[in-house]
Amino acid sequence: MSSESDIIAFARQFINDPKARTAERKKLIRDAIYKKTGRKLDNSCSTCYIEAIFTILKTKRMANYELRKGYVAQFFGTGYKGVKAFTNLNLQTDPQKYDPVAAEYLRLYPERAKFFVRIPPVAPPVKKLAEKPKPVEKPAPENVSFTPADTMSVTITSLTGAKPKSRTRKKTTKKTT
Amino acid sequence: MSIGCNQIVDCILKNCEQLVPGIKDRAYFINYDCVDKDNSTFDPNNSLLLTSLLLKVTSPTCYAFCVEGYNFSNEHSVAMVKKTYQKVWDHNFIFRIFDNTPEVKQWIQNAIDSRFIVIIENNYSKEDAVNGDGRTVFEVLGWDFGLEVNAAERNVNDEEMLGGWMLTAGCSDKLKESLPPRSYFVGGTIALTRAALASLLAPCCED
Repeated sequence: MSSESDIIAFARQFINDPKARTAERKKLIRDAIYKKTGRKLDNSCSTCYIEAIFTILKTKRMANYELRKGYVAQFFGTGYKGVKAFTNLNLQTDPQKYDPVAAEYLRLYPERAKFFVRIPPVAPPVKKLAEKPKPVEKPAPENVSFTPADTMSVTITSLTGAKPKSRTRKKTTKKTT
Repeated sequence: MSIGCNQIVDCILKNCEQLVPGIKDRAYFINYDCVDKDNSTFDPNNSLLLTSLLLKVTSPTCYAFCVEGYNFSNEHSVAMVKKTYQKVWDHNFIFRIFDNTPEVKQWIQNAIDSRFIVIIENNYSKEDAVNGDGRTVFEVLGWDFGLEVNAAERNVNDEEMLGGWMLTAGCSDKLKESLPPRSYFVGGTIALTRAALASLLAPCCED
């Protein structure tokens, strides 16, 4: 029993159907929990078996991919990370190693997705918020030269806080003779 | 019939390998309805070479179930049957169960009411450097119609069986197989074939 569906089906039946709690099944659970945790189950404690099933379900790292039974996935050429072929049994027994291999296999041969029973859902691409248009920076004026009048106004403003009076030319009237 | 169809096109030369008779004690039963024929593949040049056997994705889960005999207790035979117009093939598989528990009897009763294909493992494994070693090992019986149990017998006074069951599986009386048993060879190597077979097995089959 290796695939996720097998374990879940086993657990569901054992928990829901008291008739399914046979000696063989109990032995399977005892062996599994002993391998997992080193704990020995008490034979007479029926709820201990159910607790053990939940422990196994929690600790088992489930494979993200599942192949059709009987299918051998083969890479052409050199393979991927030393793996030239794999089956569902490999995926279920060593998902840490074979999940990336399955992902690579699907990347190379997407048309063979029909031989997979389970493929992890691909996260939808994150939509980026529309960026605000950056304010157009005005180019700094080149060769800025200050006139004496400008420097004067700056000093007056900083000292008094009042705006300097603008100098205007005095009106000149033409003398009429 | 088109010209060139069903004609002899190749030679058979002397086989230098030593033939080994018999089949292994373990056989694999698959319910006929579980086989996904649409996605199973054959060698394009030889329809007797099954290169991929897939099971359907159904609930309850489809599996290959083991039946283990003892000391070469399984037997297999195949014979051509001449009909009026065509020639067909009779696949036979005799297996023995050395037990008589209620579970065994229930298994037999279920088998009697069902159709199944059987994968057998021959003792003869031919070395073939060109096509791959071990192409003669696995064979599939009943690909076209599936086999059924034609006889089930238990004689408690039988000196050989000691009260065990002897079952004979074969084709229907009228519908016979169109071809001899298919060879089962996956991926060009016997190792991959065994891996493919291992992925078919039911949890109860694990050692």
